[in-house]
Amino acid sequence: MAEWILEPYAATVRWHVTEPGVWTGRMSDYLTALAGRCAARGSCVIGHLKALALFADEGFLQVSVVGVDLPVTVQGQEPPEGPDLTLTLNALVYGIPRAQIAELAADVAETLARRWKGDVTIESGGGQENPASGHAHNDHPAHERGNAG
Amino acid sequence: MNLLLVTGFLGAGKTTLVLNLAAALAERGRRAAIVINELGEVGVDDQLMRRLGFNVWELLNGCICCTLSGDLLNTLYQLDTDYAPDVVLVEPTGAADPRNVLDALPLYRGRPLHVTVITILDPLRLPLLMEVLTPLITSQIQRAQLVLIGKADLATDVDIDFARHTVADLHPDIPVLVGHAAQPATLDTLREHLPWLSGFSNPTPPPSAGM
Repeated sequence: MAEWILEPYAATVRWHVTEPGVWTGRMSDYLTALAGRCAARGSCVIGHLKALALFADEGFLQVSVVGVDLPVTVQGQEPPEGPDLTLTLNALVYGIPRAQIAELAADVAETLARRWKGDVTIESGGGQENPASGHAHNDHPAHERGNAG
Repeated sequence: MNLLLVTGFLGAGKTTLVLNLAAALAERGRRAAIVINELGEVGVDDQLMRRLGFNVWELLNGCICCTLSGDLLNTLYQLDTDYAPDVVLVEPTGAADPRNVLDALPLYRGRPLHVTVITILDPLRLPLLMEVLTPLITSQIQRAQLVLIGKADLATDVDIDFARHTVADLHPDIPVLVGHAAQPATLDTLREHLPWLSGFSNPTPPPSAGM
């Protein structure tokens, strides 16, 4: 494995579902499934998959995953009951280009939305691309050059 | 100005440590400022920190060790001028090589900096990371003045032993602490190895103290 790229991907994910359920578990399911899809693609290192939902009452829920089969970290509290949830996704995965992470994130989100009898919209990068985020780590050998073969 | 640089790979527990230390310093009436550099178009950690009530200075749109070292120096100067913190907690992205950050700090032209580097390791992933991201993880360990092995509550003895041996190989004689995921270390445990923190151990709230 000669080189790793690191192209951060961020998105705003808006869920609207009708099936009753617990959002904490759903956010965990989303990140766990995304981690699994990244790993299944092969030749990658999951750095950090993070999702944060902020609530009008000053509450929040943050869920993060750092690898397949590793514990999901949950901080905050279950959001107020309701069919809608908006979260910020930040995916840092070595070895998978941003565009492909975006595809995986959207595909997993849509699959889960169908399961939860609803829909989801994803706005990548908060509405604008930011080349600097990827640029920094395409030019930095200390970050991306592995030696595992 | 005391600057605590908290390094470690993505997801190792840096933000948890920074939040715990900032809260502990605030309880003691000390001014703690947080400077965070997060990769990605949208910062998640800074939103979380602000929601928790902390003042955060964010370096976004690049990496602190590649393109934002100048921004870091400007930020340090500005917050020292405006805020005069007792301690600045700097959390680079986990993809950052601390060597480059440390190389930039001598260019700072404000109050003299007293810099301490703490590196947090994730024992669950260290074998993989040492295999595929060797230069980065090696640098993070070698630049540390104190290493924390976090997530001990989630790790096996084999994981912890591997982390200890890795540190011993790369940076012999460096102090190593072992902590849990929710609390990698406390101010008191750090103080045993970082004597300058002793001055911040007792509650002495000045009238204008806060975060």
